[in-house]
Amino acid sequence: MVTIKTNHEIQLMKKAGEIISATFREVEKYIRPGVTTGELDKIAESYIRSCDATPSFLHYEGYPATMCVSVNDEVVHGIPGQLKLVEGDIVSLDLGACYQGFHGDSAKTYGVGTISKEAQQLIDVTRQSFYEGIKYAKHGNRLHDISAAIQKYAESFGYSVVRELTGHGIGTTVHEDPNVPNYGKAGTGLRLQKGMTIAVEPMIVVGRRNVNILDDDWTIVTEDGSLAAHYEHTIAITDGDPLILTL
Amino acid sequence: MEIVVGQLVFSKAGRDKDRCFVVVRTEGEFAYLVDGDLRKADTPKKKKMKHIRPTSCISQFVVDKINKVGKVTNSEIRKEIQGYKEKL
Repeated sequence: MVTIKTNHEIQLMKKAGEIISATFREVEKYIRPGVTTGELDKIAESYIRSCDATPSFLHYEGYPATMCVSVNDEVVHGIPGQLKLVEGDIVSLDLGACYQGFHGDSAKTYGVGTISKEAQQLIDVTRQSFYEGIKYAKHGNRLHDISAAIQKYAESFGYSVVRELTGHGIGTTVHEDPNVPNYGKAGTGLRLQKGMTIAVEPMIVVGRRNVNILDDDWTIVTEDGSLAAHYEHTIAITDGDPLILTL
Repeated sequence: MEIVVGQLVFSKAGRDKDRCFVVVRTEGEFAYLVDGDLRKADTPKKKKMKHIRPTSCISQFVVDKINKVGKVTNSEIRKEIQGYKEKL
């Protein structure tokens, strides 16, 4: 069920989003060769709790950490642990926070030290595909207008869009209806309405779009081992341009 | 709040006052309502929007089903309304 939020509820989600944004700024300081993904996770958890919020992902459906930390060919849901980042890696951080009962969700991909031009382009295109998509996130438009714009932009660079995973509605739970795919046909899907809050999250890969799940039952990797990037914000649909709640 | 297809609404007037429905079509100032019980999918109730109290919930299932095959079944509508009531 898709839930329309009141202005007050959106303000609470904005507060959760501000905490997430500040958490990213804190964690970013430590992204460098030699740091472990587990250390980054501890920094995120500590910061979120210092803001009177709680990590949305920790224990969600059994997930064991605050962030999803996915490295190189890992698309999403990488479990932080002892893995040390090395020069040239790309690492996707995905995190959510809950403030007074309302969630925000955001993800970004970073380079570790100096990265290849190809990896940087993937990160840049993934980020821009989000912004191409949300140009259509307006009251009265169709949900798949966003999806189609993301797909068109990403594929124009020869990249592929992962189809097994989608964005989602968000509010009092971290995953709500509607599903927000990163591919689709413009002019179809749910009609967007003021007050809807959705997490738009392109997951873009260099190679083929097929993915596998690892034995930990969480980590999603590209089947062909190609690099993957992820970019996500929680947005609210308004009469005009969408409000990005996790900036 | 604009009333859209898939939205859960309550009737504000008439014999069906306070009954929960799902909007299956809109047309100008009218919405077509189904609850799968009193009002079946084949014979939706045409009701003025001003006589409807919208909820904040929209069924993605109903929207997707109508977009894909043009209609929903009575049991599907009943299930969506039941799901909504259980959330309250």
